[in-house]
Amino acid sequence: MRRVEILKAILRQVGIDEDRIWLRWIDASEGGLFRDTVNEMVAELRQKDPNPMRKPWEMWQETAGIWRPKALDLPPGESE
Amino acid sequence: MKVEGTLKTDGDMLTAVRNLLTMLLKQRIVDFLLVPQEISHGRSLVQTLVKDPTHLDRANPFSPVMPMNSATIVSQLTADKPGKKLGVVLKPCEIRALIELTKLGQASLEDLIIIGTDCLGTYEVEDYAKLIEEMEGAAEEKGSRILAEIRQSIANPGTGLPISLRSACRMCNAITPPLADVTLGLFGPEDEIFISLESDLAQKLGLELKETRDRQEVIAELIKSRTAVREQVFSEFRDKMATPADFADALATCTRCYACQSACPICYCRVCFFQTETFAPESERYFRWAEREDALRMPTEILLFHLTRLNHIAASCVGCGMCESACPHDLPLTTIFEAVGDGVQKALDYEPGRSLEDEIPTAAFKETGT
Repeated sequence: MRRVEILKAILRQVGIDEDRIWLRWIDASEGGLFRDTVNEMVAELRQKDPNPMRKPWEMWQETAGIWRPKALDLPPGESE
Repeated sequence: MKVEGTLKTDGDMLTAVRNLLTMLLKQRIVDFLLVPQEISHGRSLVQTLVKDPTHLDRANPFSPVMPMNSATIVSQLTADKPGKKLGVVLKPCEIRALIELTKLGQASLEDLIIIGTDCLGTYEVEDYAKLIEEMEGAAEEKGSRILAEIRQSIANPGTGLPISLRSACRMCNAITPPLADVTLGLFGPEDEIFISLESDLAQKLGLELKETRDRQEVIAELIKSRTAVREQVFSEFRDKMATPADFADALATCTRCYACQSACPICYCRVCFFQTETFAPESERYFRWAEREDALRMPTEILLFHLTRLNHIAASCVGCGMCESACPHDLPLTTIFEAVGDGVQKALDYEPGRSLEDEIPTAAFKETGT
């Protein structure tokens, strides 16, 4: 549970939709619940925009690749 | 009961501290001592495991460089509980990492005396080496001169060495050692070294402590300025990370070389999941992926690698910035791991390295009642 909680907190902070991750506890005897949960998840995902990482090469091509926070670019001695 | 005061320095801080360390070994308070010592004519410093006190002549507990987080070394030396009395000289972020490793069962504090130092910040190894090279004067005096200049720069903002602190240190506001048995402090009056330790240990060492002058004001001021940088960095990070493409942008030149993972004190698995067959499949699979995607970035799974590392260590990340220092591509890993780690830690109400009692959220089982 905690791992999923942490993962969602991470995804939230790096611009990835946390609701694309689901965790449900379903017993082996709960076949109906499993089916309904999968259908529900698929339906919700379909309502979302297409997965932005579906075409990863295009995403990488568009990166600037030089980002770093300006707050760290102060001259020596200025940060204290 | 703890007592505090100032060490007598007679104008030579490093000699005063070396004498204290010598006493720890001579009085058999510890059998071995792990302490940073100058090498390469002072151009760098490395942790050294010392048995013979005559080999403490180049020790510098306030080392302005940090080639690695020494919690990893303490883990190597203590995980199997060797039954030796070991003294370890550590910076605050190293102690915090050690506390996390102890809670993860990767280190032991048994028979360990932690000598924690105030941290004035550290420089990249290559920057510091160049600075020392360009300095005139005797090699053995340069360490003390640098230390004095750094102390002066804290009292006079805007002055200081012509090189920048590591990114992690620029935004670090945890500058005094937590849970140390002996604290050695540099914040406060420039001619003094603050010390705090148990009264019986002070007695065994025959220390005559002078009354200490207030150092809290200096500490509070530095924490304030570092916190301001930290918040600005986090704010820039939050503004930047709107889509997965922004995350990819920050990691664009990553080659998944594992340097960040190797340097991380919290990443302790002997075999990393990313170095198993799952992430080194047979060649056919790459060709299949390239066919499906038209073009495939190599090596693959850059985002997944960093997301997995974040998921494994975000709760325990102590912000030492070793990942960024080790990165051959200068990726802003300190910012990513600190900012995300801060968010995760706040969400879980957990502060890594604060105490041995707080359970690591991922290791603790709690019933939610649902």
